[in-house]
Amino acid sequence: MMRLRAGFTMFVDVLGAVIFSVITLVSFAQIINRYVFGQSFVFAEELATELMIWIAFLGAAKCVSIDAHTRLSVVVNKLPPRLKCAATLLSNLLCMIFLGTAGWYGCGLVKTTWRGTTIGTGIPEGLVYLAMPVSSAIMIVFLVVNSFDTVAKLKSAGEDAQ
Amino acid sequence: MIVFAILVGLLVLGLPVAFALGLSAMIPMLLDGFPLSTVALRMTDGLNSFALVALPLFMLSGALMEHGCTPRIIRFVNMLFGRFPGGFGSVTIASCVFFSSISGSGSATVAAIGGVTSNDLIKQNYRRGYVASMLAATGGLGILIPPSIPLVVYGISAQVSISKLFAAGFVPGVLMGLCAIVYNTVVAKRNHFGMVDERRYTFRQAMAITYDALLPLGMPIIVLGGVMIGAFTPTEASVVATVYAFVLTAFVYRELTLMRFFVACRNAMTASTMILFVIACANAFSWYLTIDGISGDIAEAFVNVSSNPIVIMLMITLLLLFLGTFMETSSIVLITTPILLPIVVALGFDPVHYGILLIVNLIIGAMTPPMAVTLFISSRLCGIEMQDTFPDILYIIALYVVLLLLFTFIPGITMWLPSLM
Repeated sequence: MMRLRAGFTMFVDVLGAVIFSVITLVSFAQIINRYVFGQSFVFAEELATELMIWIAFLGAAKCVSIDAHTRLSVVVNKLPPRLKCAATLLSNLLCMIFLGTAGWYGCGLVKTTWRGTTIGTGIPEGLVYLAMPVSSAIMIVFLVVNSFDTVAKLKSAGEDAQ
Repeated sequence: MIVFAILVGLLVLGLPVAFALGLSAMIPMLLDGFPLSTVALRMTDGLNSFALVALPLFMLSGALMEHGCTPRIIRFVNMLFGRFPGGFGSVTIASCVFFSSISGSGSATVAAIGGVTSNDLIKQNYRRGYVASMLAATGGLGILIPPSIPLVVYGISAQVSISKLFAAGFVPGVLMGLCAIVYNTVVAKRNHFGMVDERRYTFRQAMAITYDALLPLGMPIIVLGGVMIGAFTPTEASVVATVYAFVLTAFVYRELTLMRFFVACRNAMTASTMILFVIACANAFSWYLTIDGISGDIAEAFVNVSSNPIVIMLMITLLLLFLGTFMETSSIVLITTPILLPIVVALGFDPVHYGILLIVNLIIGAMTPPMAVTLFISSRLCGIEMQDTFPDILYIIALYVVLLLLFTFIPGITMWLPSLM
């Protein structure tokens, strides 16, 4: 599980660096093209936005894998260990229900939009909508892993106390 | 109102803000019979905007500029302010103001400047709690002085010109920095903090230091200047800023290795995708609020309490200050804007003016415990606990609240610069 987490984190980090570089280069080329040659690439803005959508959802999945999403932990942290564990598990379950539902309907959206193509880049529209269901599935996997980790931590803390 | 009950319940349970927003839109939509595919559609469409590309790129340019720029800015500012009472304290504040015009994040500004100056300040007899408080207060200006990540988020959420917001944030940000310098001078003189820098610079030395700082200080000219004269959109400014930061740190200062570039990309990516995912889920949430007409109900509830605009604005300020004490900046912007903006506009406030007031509120919130992000970082840098910053932090909060009220009721301070555009 640690390998899965580390591998996915590294993959998204490298992909993020590549995507950020591509977005910067393409958008900069667009500015130069407009000011120097008075023309513009039709695909530039769309490509930058589509790449950002993909890295935003994959990055969100990475944040789930390293448990980095911003949350209000003041109340939960005050709870005794068992209750805190239960609250974390319930919170993970609710997140999974949300992601499962959104991801399921997201798949439907991919199907219905796949035949249409985007104006600038000419890729299937569904490819843009695919980012959400794919990352939802990854997030669900890591939420399950995180839940097992939470229970394991509680158990080992109980054993240490004994 | 069920949507708010669910949201509060989920937040208290510890759900990440993004998921809490998404679920609290999804549940009432299910009950009201709306198709749930709308959630999926709104989530992706919420990110489908070229303007949003500015968010990760401003984070990246700020992360890149940390390499080699911080000491040069501090040396330049030390030359300007070092000889006045409380010199190095004022140098730190002014450096934060300058760095704010490079970085769009408050915590990055606190870490970049505080990491270099906090130890020297403590060695110069400044009280640790005072140093941490001052750093949190002035580093927080990173989100007010352009470029600013929360201003980009607000601009998209409220559909307000980000260029105008950037211009509007400049004067209040610099004014807050100047007031902090005056306050520091008085406190340092009274408490015998620090020592005066007696160094005298020759003309050649002064020119060399200024020349060295000119390149990092070129960044605000590109961002604010480019946007104000209409040469770039804010997104294009973020692209140029990133290229500028890369060329400066990699080829001019030669301090950017491949590993440092990767780390900067990784940090910018993690921080920005967290916010982008909140934006995606908040888009579904605000869509439901609009369709259900809840914003109107809340506006009516506010008006029922009082019809006096000043009272309503003070209530909104109190609400934002309260939220700011325990919630993250961009989340508050995304949750409150669709609810509070219609009320504020109905009271006669300009959405640009309100955006700046919102950000000043959030700066104060981010330095007020329990969830005080900037104060947490500065306390750690000074090697103290957050509670050790009392009472110093309270005086600075009081100063900022007075300034906030001035900005609220004298719109000219905020709206003068955007009115020139």
